[in-house]
Amino acid sequence: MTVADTLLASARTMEVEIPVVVARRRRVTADIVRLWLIGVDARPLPSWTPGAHIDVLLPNGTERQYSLCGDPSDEEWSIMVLREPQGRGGSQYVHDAVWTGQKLKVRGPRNHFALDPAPRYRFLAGGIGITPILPMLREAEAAGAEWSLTYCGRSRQGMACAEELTVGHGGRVRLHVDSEQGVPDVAALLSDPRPGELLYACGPNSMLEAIERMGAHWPKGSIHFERFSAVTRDTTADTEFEVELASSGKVLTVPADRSILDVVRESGIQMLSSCQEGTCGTCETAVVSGQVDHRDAVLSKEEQEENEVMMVCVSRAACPRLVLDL
Amino acid sequence: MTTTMPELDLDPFSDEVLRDPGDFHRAVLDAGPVVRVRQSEGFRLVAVGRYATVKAIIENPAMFLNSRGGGVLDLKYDESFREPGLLAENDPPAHTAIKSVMTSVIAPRNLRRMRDDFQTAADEIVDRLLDMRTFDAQIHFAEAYPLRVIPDAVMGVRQEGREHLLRYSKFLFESMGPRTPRAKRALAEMGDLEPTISWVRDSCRRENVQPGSFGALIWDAVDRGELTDAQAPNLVRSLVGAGIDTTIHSLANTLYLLITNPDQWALLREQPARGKFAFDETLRHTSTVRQIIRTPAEDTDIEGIPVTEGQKIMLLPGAANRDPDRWGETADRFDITRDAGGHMALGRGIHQCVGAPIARLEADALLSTFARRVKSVEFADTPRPMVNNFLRGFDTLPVTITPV
Repeated sequence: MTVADTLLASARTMEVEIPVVVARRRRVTADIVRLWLIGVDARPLPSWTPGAHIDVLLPNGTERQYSLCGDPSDEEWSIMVLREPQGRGGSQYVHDAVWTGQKLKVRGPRNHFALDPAPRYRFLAGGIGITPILPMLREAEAAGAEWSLTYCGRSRQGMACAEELTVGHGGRVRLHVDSEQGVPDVAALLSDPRPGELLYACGPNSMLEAIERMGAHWPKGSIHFERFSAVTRDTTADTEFEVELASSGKVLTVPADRSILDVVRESGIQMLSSCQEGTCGTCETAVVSGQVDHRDAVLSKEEQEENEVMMVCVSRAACPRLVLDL
Repeated sequence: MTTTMPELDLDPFSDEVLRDPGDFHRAVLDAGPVVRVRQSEGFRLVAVGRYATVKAIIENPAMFLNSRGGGVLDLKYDESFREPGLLAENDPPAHTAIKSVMTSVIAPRNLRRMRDDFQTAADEIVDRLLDMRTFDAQIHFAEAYPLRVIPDAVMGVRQEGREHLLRYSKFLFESMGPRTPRAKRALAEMGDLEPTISWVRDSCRRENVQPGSFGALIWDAVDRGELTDAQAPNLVRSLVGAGIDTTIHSLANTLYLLITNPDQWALLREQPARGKFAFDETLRHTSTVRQIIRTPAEDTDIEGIPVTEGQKIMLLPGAANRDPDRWGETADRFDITRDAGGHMALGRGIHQCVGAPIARLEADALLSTFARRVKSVEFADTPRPMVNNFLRGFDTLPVTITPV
């Protein structure tokens, strides 16, 4: 599968809700529970690759994303959930109300954090960020690659799987415990990238931002992140921009919270559309000038880069004014 | 709280309903979210017509399956008349990779390459029509255009034997419904279908698809390791089966509605670029595909009414697309300025018609060209509606046109 196909495939699976049952639940640390999920009626679950996550639709109406942390060859899926008292209620609910036998709906799996083939890997995990890394270690091992992991946490008791990691993998796993060793030296963790080495990091935003700041000496494309904030697109950063209609020269303002499609329609211009979520391609519109912030699942990566057409139901401008062939 | 399922003493496959399903659709909308309908051939079908209910079912492919068959048979138990379609009779996760291959084949960049050819073909077809003045639009307008562009560019099938194309889709759409006495007669009148089925099977082979066509792009996906040798012919077959009759009848339905709604024809003539909107509104107003079939994976309920695992459910796009709760008081009016977006004629979600962009490109070229060059169009004789288990359209559509 090409990247574009993976992207498309993931966009398609987004829409499918799969009923699952909690087969087992185990408390891993005081604040982390691990759940194993199986398909309802033992229906097989979709296959996945290390780095993938699922959407879990909780009965209380919240929806959270969790990385799959088990072994892709297992029939069941496994996730770990950190209790976040400051969160939006999803993790609290899992801790307090999701027990063995509970039916849930999930969507996915999707992977925006896939492990590219490489001769050697450097893994950095912070706290619950260990979850997508666990299956990656197994894959790197199976592929015969060299690898090392630095696993940072605030306290030894709060670090999931710390013991089996250090026992199972000998010297390749280094634990860094803040309460014992102080704040980790990110610059040291990023020193001496070796030929062909890829860095995979998952953890709190502060850690990832530090890696971003200090990782400039790594070759372009060799550093991979996963932030475990919600993967549903964060639209809070969307801004207002202008759209110019090529045929009339009319300029329309698209507010931060509305789509180009809605604004153009409101101005009295008829437009075809169907799904309104960037998956069907009906509202495809030619771009005369300007850079597009593509958010659809129809165009391949190459087509998005060509910047010749866009799906106006979801995509936005990456510039102050887009000129569209309307 | 459970409620019992309302029952309607109407057979969706009777000649009357097939000729004009309007009353049947209204009865289903009125009766409830899911309604048991009469079916003379031993099938115990239920029908869903309300827009919100159709949408909820179609957007839940994990519960309401495609793999149990797109026709009235349950493929878990019944031998179908053909190998199940990998695209339309398949569920995630297997469906997901297949659909993404098909989406990458029918991609905007590949369609853009075809735009000029589609326009040239539209000019030629309209030239011929203006020479004839009086003709059967079913043959010379609705069939002639897709047959001129689709077999080459899309399917990539051989020149020789193309007369089998229409026979194949007629057989396919008739066979997906119940074997009513009428359907049996229709199939019997078609004579020996074996040569047609073999021709389609052979046409889908790697050595027989023309380079540059979408059929060839499907085989290219085999070379990239995205499909197996066994899957490719099945997907080429889906282009052949689903990609021609559906468009033909939708084009004929559009022309019929433009003739019977002169104010809309006038609007289209004023702005011929509205061709694609006229087509989309036709799909809403007179949905070509009569039913979209789903099968529940387990015992469940539809808005509180229990349905059992394996119960064949007919979603009625034609009813959902006229549901006043979604379309308002003017639901029954044909209005090409309406925003018809969200109609159910092409399905929705993961199984939304993958060929829709091709059909829209065809309709846009043909209808816009026709509206630019034709001043008036009227019936030359009474049109004869087609009676077919799965599609709505015409057997004959005699018209007279005058040039601009």
